[in-house]
Amino acid sequence: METTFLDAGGVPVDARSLAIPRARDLVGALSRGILDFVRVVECRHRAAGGSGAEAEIIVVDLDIQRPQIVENDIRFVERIAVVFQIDDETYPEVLALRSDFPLVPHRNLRAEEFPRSLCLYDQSWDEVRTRWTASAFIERIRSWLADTATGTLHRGDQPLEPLLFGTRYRLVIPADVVKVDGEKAEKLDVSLVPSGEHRGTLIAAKPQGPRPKGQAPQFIASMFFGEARQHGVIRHAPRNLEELADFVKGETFDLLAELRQRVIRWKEDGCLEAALIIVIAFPLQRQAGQAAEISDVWAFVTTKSVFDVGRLIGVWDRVSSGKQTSVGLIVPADASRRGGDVGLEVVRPHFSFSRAIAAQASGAEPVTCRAVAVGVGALGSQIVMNLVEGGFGIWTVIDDDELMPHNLARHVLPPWCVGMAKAMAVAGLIDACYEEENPTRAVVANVLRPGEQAKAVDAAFGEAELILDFAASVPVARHLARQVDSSARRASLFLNPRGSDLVCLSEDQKRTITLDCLEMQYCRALIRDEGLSGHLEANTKRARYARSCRDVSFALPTHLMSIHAGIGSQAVRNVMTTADAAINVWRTEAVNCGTVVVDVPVYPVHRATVGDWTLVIDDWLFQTLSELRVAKLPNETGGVLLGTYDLPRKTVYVVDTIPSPPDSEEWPTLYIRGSVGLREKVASITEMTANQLEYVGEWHSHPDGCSCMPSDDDFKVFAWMTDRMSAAGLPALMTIIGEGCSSLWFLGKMERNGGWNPDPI
Amino acid sequence: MPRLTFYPLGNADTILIDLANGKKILFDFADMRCADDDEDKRCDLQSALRDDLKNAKRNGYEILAVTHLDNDHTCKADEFFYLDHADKYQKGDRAKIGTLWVPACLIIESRNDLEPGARALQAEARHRLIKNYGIRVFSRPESLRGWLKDQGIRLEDRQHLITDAGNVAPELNIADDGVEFFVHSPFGWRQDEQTVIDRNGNSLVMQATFAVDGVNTCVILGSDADHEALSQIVQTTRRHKQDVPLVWDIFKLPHHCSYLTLGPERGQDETKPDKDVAWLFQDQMQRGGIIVSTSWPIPSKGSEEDESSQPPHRQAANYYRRIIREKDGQFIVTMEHPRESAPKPLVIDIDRLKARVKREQSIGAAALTAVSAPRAG
Repeated sequence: METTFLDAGGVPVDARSLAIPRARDLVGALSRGILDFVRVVECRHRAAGGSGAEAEIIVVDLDIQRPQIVENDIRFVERIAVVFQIDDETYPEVLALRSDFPLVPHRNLRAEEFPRSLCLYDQSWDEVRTRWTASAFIERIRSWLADTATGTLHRGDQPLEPLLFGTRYRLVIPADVVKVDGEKAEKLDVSLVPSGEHRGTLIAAKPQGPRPKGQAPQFIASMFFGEARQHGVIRHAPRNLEELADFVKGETFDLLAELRQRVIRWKEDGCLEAALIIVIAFPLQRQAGQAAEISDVWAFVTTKSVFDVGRLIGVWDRVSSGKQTSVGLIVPADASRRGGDVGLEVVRPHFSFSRAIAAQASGAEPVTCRAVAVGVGALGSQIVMNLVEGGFGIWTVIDDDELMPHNLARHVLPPWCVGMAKAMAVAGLIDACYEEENPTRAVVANVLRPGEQAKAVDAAFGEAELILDFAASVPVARHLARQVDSSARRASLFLNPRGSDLVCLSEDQKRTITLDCLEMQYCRALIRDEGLSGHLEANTKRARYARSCRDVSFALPTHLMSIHAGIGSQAVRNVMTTADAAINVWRTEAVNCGTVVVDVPVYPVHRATVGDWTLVIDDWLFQTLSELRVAKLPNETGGVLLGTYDLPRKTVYVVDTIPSPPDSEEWPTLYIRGSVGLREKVASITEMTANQLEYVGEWHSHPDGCSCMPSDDDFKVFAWMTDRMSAAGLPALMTIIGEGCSSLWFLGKMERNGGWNPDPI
Repeated sequence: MPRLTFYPLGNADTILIDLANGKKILFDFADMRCADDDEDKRCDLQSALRDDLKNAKRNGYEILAVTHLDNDHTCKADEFFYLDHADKYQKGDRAKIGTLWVPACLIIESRNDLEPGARALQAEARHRLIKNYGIRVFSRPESLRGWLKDQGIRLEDRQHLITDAGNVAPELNIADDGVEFFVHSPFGWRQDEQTVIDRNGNSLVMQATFAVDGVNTCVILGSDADHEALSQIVQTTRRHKQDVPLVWDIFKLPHHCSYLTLGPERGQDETKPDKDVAWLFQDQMQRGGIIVSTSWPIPSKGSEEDESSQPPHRQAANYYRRIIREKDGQFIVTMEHPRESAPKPLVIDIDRLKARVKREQSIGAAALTAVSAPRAG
């Protein structure tokens, strides 16, 4: 069992004559005698010529840290040649010289099978060279061999890397082509996107109906499915079709026979002058007996046209009769013609972008949730595209606006979309990313007044699992929360006026706390939570983009929009993975870009119809009023109620209170609310919340042992309030808080046995 | 993960065995290095072992096996171990011994040529046997009867400390320790049906079987057995219809690669082994097996060392080199590993892929952070 070694190329030279710096480094490191487990066998020099540029070759013996039991036949000592090319433009090539070195993964594709070339790095040479040292290089080779011995080098589905050639062209094939039946992939039209002289990307597309006459393609690709085998069917780059056919021949698969049948079918297709690209997918079976997972795909551009290929594999010949020439079939085909004259060039196959690839690239699972984006302005369009590019969502986009030049500052759409409806353009962009069974729907409409698009809008909402509100409009949010018939969860994402904060309001899965209520609790946080101070501070930097007085936009740094769109896309994913309602605010410092997140607690909501009005309160308010009452016992106390009105829906939201002013009179059977500082406080709250919260009514407490029923005095107060509020077109609101969290709420009118008595919390 | 460490000590033996459960076993101790000779490439054994104990936060060994009393297996043991039998071995930083494993000769042999290390270990072994603790003597029980009687002790009262060949040493077992030690020698040689001769001069020879994830890796610890003793071990074992105890993945060669391990004749270029010895080395070797010669480098042909009668013998090494090639094995000489110019301890890790010689480069940051920095001013 004598070990024999292959020729490393070139001629032996003295180590002292080496001129290539890395070769000198390696020999230098080895001759200093500080490295164990490696010995120089010889140095060689290869002149420029047939096998490449001028090179110096160092042959070494390496001791391998290998266990007794091995997966692959790697020996305790392996002889390796390292080839340093003079131009240093790519990795030094590492060749295993043992003549029976096994067929293992992670090799480079070469023109010859032997010596086998080890693929050491998954980084580019430019990256590797920044840290390349001779000793680390030797260690990399040793660990490659040790891991290969134990079969642990394996990293998924990595095919051979063409190292020395074949990288000039890449081929993009449809992502689902390996899944579809062979017929559809039998002939794909291929267009070339050139990126320089003799290089570029070939893009294969599935046939979309018959090709118009006179539009002959430059290339066509034909897809074959080989037999499941262990890796390594293609051991070196095949030089011609015959060699390839021999490599891939299986028990049932015969490339030439299959190709002959196909070529005959293409005879009348007008593609005979196109160059043929052969794509072969192997159901990859890494280990014998294990289920195949993914296809190992190879692609080769032939140097011949379809006609010539047909001729050279014995399908037809050109026949002349008089001045006419035509294609004459050879029947039966001439099997002795095996395509030895059809040269091949390896091209790197890539799959077109797909939901699966998108999700994988994001490190996420693909999500096929039906989502509606309401408003695809700057924030919405960026968040939607982030999600699409991460494999999330089957989309409907609704927007009634067109892309204007000033939008380009922050919008995801490119300049050539100016003038297009944003909804259409964004939908087009989504579908250009990856093709799916369910194309994206675009509805050019305002959800508040959809007009003739009403059916389309209703249909989209009806089917949706998630409605994302990017309209940055309170009426739209309330409309989506209250008016739209859909079981989908809603979430609103918007920026504060200066663009420094992103807000995400998301409903719970059961929709017990809807967007309109979340918006109110968010407003309360603006006056209660110090972490949100300055949140609604006005943006004073206005930018006029056209002539009308409404043609004003706020100046808002592009980077803040991008940062928050990034955060927003993850926020949307978070919504889908949690059941509870949430209010989150991300606050980003505009210059150093540090971001903090403020989680605003969400409280259960109570909603009641009082007369023809609807009243909405939450547990926090309830609890706060009760605590204020208890603190003043045995006296009565009170204060004003803060909230907001939704007049079209005749709804009053009550969210907070200003407790009893200092000049109030508080007695065991009497409460007169004072007024010192009250007007200023209400005004400042209205300002802090950008007019969202205002005075909506009064409350006072009743002592222990006394019901919440209004007293005669209470009726007088209510009449006094009604008088003043109705003048403003608003209903009066009075709340009486009693023992044990009991309460009675009067809205619009007060009756002895009336009022709303919510369950105490 | 169990690990064996063979220290480069010239022609001398010290093997540290680390078990997966943290237990430490030392097979022989021979600190051979001349402390004042900078050219001496042999390992500073006491420092190496002390560092190892310190790293493991341990103060000694569960077991110290002393295979026999020759100086190349016991040298300076009196300086390193904490010995119970005399105060003078109890001062300073010394390694404790849980149980001493010794062959019978260590107890009953009277030799005038013993070096201090051997003398101290013999005294300790006798002390422990008399005091009835911390010792296991490998022997046919009968052979100890006389010596015990001289001490006024009945054999029956020490029977539990004695294990005969053909048994497993009771201190360790596969279930708890992931290893068991089968005793091959000392043994009684059955000359004929009636006569059993005690080979009490024989050193301690064992087969250790390590079990990791259901995969066994077997190590023959050959002490200094010669070809006659090995042949008799083979014949005895096979007579009991037991081949398994002679299977090996790692073979610690007896007597530093001496031709006498193989056969009576040194041979011109390759020693010819006795039939039984050849069966042991060739048939019982598992694929990828490792032969370890605890010795000086193998001399080249015609060199001064090659002419010497002292081992290592080139002719024996050539035999081993040939047989390992046939089974994808390795032949490793401690003073040549990884390089003759700078030998380092030979570390063999054992896992479900069996034995794997550790071959990690110690350069750069890895080399700097593995040890304390020299004193800075």
